[in-house]
Amino acid sequence: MTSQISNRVFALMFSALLSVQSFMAQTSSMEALVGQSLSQLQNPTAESYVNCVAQLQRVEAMYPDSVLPTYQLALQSLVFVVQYPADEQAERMLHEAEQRIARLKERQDVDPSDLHTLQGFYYTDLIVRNPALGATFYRDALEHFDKALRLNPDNLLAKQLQAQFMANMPGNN
Amino acid sequence: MKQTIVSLLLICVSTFLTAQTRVTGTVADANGPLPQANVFIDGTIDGCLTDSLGHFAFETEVRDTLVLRVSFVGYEDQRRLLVGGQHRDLHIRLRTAALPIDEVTVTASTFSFGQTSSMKQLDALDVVMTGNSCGDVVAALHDLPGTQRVGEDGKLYVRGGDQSECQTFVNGMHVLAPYTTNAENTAVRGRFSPFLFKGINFSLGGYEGEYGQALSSVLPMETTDKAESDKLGVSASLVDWNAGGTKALGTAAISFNASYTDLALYENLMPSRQDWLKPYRNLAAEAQMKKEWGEQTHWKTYMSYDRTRFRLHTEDRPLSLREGNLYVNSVLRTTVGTGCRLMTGVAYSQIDNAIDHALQLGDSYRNKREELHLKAELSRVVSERVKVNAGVEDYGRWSSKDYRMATQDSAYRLDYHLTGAHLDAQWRVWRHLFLSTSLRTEHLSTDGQWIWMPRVTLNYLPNARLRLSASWGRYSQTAEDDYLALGRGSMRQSMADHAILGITYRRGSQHFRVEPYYKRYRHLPLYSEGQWRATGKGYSRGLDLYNEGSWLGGRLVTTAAYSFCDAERSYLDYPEPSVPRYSTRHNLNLTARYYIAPWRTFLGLAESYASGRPYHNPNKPGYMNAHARAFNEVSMNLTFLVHPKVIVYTSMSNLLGRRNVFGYQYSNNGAVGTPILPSSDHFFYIGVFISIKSNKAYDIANF
Repeated sequence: MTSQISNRVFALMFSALLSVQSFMAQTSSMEALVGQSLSQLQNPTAESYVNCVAQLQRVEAMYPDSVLPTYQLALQSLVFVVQYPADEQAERMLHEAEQRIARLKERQDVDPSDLHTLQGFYYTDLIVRNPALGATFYRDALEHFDKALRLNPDNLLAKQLQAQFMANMPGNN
Repeated sequence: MKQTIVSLLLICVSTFLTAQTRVTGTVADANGPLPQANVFIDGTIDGCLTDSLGHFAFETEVRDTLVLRVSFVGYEDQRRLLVGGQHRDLHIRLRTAALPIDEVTVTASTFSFGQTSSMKQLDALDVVMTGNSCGDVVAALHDLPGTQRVGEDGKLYVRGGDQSECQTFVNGMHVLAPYTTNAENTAVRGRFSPFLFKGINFSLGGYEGEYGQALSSVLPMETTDKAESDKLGVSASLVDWNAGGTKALGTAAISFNASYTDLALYENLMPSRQDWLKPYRNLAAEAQMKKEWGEQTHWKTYMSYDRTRFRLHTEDRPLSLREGNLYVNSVLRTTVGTGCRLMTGVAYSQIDNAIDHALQLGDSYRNKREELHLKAELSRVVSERVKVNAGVEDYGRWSSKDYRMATQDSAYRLDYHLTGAHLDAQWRVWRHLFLSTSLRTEHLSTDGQWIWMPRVTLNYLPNARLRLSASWGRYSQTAEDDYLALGRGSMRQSMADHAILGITYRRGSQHFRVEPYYKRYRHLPLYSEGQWRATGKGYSRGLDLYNEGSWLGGRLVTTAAYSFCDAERSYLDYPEPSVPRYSTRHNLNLTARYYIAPWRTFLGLAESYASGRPYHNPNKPGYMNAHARAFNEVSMNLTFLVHPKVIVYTSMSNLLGRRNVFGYQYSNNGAVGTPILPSSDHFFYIGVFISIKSNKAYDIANF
């Protein structure tokens, strides 16, 4: 009886271990692919950002249940817009980011601080694309950065984006 | 020999193993090639982007059977199974994506400022900086099609309906008195600062079942979310002074704002036609409390109280007015179960009005109105095809009026309830076809009847640019308290049927809208044969045209709105069916806002035209038998973003100084016709808004 229980426990542990290993393999593979996509940005150009975002879309399609590819896709799209606001791809990138943020909002497993950081970044992009919208969106951008930092005071990206936003605000530079 | 054979075999095997499948082709949509579409093998990162001609070419190590996937933002992903060999000259055609059901607003005739389903598009600030709003939401909305200029009171008159037919909702809760009070022939202002709100919707008709007690239009506004940091701000102008702030307390925030308005200084600088004995003064206080529990549960409470006083010499008497206006609103929004959104709210309004020498020397007028509005709403996206929304609400209303004069007194007391319930369902009938069905029922305690109001809207969205809609619905509203009292229990609810067609087209930064409509009114209050009854009727039909465009890289934004309105009613004391005295046949509003980047300044220009208002000339046969001359006004505003903490806003109405006439009022014997004129031809406003403590920029609101 005892040995039966031991066997069952062993079988359960073994199967759990296999599941964890499989999950870790999948996770590490996904992370590796995300990393591979981002590696295109070592010498960033508009084209490399576009290719990176395209590759992240493919990774996202491979791992639709993972947050990381969607998050990185939104983030890199937003980085592209802030770097190349006048590029003909900027509008599409903004749309990509908006869609991904909406998708992340519906998920339960997204860090709310990261989500507010992306939203603050999105409004920043709107202002960068069209400074005439500044008066409209300054408050929204900063409100989201504030909230991101309230939820996670150690959110480095939120801190950096907020600091850059304040530094580049008309009247402060 | 043996070694050679082995080597050859190894080479063959390695060649076979490293052989790559080449995939080439073109991606297009209905309009031609699609550049930058993402073409890849599903489950891998092998792929490429299409070039400027929509061509793609790449190699993959996946052989035999593979799934080619093509994606492009705004289009449905396309998957194609490819079996064996090379795959060259593939032609992939993408279809535009159908909108998710929760992103489709199937309400016709709505203008939205602020939050959309995903991200914010426009802000209250945009509304205010356009045209001649002087910081007033209601005045700004007059630049939209379907609204009519009634300069002597400044309220919202929509598509042939009178001002009482437009109802205001804050966070979904009704506001009984959305306007401030002012003297006769002076445009009133909306009670709420536009900076209180993150979203302003203005529906000109065809609205869903949630909104009742509005025959013509609804103005739902959503207050801003909880602030994340402390704020303190002050503002000052020639007519008003404000101070307020917000204290952020982690997941909660408390805000307070106080304002004092006094026309004395302005009247000294720019005298109006009013003969003030004590110019208009208003003291107002507002408070807000907001609390969040996680991302899904939000509680918002808003309170405001203001007191208005003035005395003016009118005809041969010193009219004196005092008014107190209280509004409290508390709303909780949360998620229950799996994806079900619940909203519960309570709102209380109280208006206490006292006028001495109101109609003749020595008379006294007292009017107190109260309303308690309770509401609960439940909404859920049931599937990709269906979204439902159901709710119940109750309006309790208490009203008393006491008018005393030397010869006779009159008074009434009213106490009634109106209970309503509705069920709305939005369906995706087909990829691009959405149907909204709604049923609303109401029970008015004074007549004991249940009325049923079906509403239906069909939207066809063939692509992201075009929307075609058709809407029909039945709407109700109780008569104003005076008529309810005069009707002595016989005054049932007024009804209106709306039929609206709509075409909306967006291309780039251009937005066009065309909306013909027809409204039929029944059971309007009518005085006939010595009695007040709900037997009045009428119609309103017309066409609204609207264009909004963005030019010069977004620095210039223009709007053009034209409305044709043909209305006729038999109601109130009209002896025969007539054009309502507020209705104008042709209405045109043009606005332009230009951002002068080096000066960080917005320049706004507005032109408003309305054909002559009808009025009754007793010296001519018939009723409403004459027309005043056309209304015309050119206005300008400048907003200087002086510093992230300082904004200067200035506005001037009627730059050309045209003397607009809203009609004529005749003496009892009909001999003398006095023009109805605005209290002043111009209004000049200059205000400075300063943030004393805030990490935000251009954050005008003290809230």
